[in-house]
Amino acid sequence: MASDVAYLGVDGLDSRMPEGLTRDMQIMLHGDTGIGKTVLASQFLYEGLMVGDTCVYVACDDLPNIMRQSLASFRLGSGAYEEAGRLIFVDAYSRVRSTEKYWLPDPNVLDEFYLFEKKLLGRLAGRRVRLVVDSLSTLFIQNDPSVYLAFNANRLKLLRRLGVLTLDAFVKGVLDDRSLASLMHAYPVVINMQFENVGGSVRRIIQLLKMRSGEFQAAPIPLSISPKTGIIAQAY
Amino acid sequence: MGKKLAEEHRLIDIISTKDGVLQVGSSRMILLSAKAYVYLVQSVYEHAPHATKFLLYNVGYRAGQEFMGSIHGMASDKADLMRYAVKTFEQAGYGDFELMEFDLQRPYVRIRGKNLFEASLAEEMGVYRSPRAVDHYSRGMFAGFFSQLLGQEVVCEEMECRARGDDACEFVIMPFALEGPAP
Repeated sequence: MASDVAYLGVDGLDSRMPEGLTRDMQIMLHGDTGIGKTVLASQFLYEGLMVGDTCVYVACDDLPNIMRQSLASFRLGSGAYEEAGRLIFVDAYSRVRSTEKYWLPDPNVLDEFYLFEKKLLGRLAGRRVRLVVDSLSTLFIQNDPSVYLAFNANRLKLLRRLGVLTLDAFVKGVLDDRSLASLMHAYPVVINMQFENVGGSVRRIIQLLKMRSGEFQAAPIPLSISPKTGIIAQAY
Repeated sequence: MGKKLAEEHRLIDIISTKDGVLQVGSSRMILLSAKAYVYLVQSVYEHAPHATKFLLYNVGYRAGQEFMGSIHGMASDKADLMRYAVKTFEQAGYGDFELMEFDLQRPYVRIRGKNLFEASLAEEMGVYRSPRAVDHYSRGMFAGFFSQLLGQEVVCEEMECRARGDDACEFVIMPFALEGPAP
């Protein structure tokens, strides 16, 4: 009964793509610092766990425990899924030592990151996998654009071939505009989150910027974040 | 009292109705049809789609805590109290359950079930975009039972669900994991 169609797990966004996502899609999530990219990532993982996916979270910007705590705030017990091998945390943040089973001490060496991802995903062959890298831009800033663009092109091909539904987070303002445009072109789905000044007050907005080969509504919608339920994205 | 508490428990023996009030033991109850439950969930979803599963879990959790609190004094054996609570839940029409594992020290509980009301109504509710684990009220109830027994909040996850095509619905109850497992 497993479905070939997948969703993000944020109702206000999922309702804007009636055909859903295909399981071999890669999503670029681009947003301001502090806008809620990691919250969206946690809901993406939550959705995956509910539909029976094996979820991999690569933590580049903070310790994996931050995501465990975020999931706990939604009353999701990550421990049960970790024990069952359905939720895997990769520590790509710690440099000196890590208590995690999966640790990448130097993820900025993109060849090593590629091989690590390939090996880990190879171990999960035969399963429906959902991958989050939070955030990929952190790995790129130490590299030349020509290097990381070539790396990501190969990586996206691999993920597509393996049928891994992927959410790659990018922090706004970290990469140059030209590189950003190339990346946006490479991803079949692009979501933008940003702060917007409206009449003197600041609000958060979210927008499906691109969805290749799929019907979607592109208008930006305001969002708020509840500590108990996550992102509330609804246009009234 | 040991295992007999749950084995000899018959909900039907403590049901009474008088003056339009349905009592089960000391608790007032109402009968809510499966159809009415479907309408309830649909209405919640229409108003707050982002909150539906959390709301159902929370309601189940509070109800589970309250029920376990009401029977806590009936026995000293916590495994038997857990079996009694699950048996009551079963006799009230929520599904057919079996307590598979109970470890107070760890702590850890595993429950397996079939014919759960939420899974059986999932398609009719029409609020889920794709097949998934749907027994949120039941999850909350089980977490509430065990949380009350332990004296600390624990969480219940549905690792398998009939609504997702699995053979049965299986639940695991454990404390929240705020840190990774010990190396």
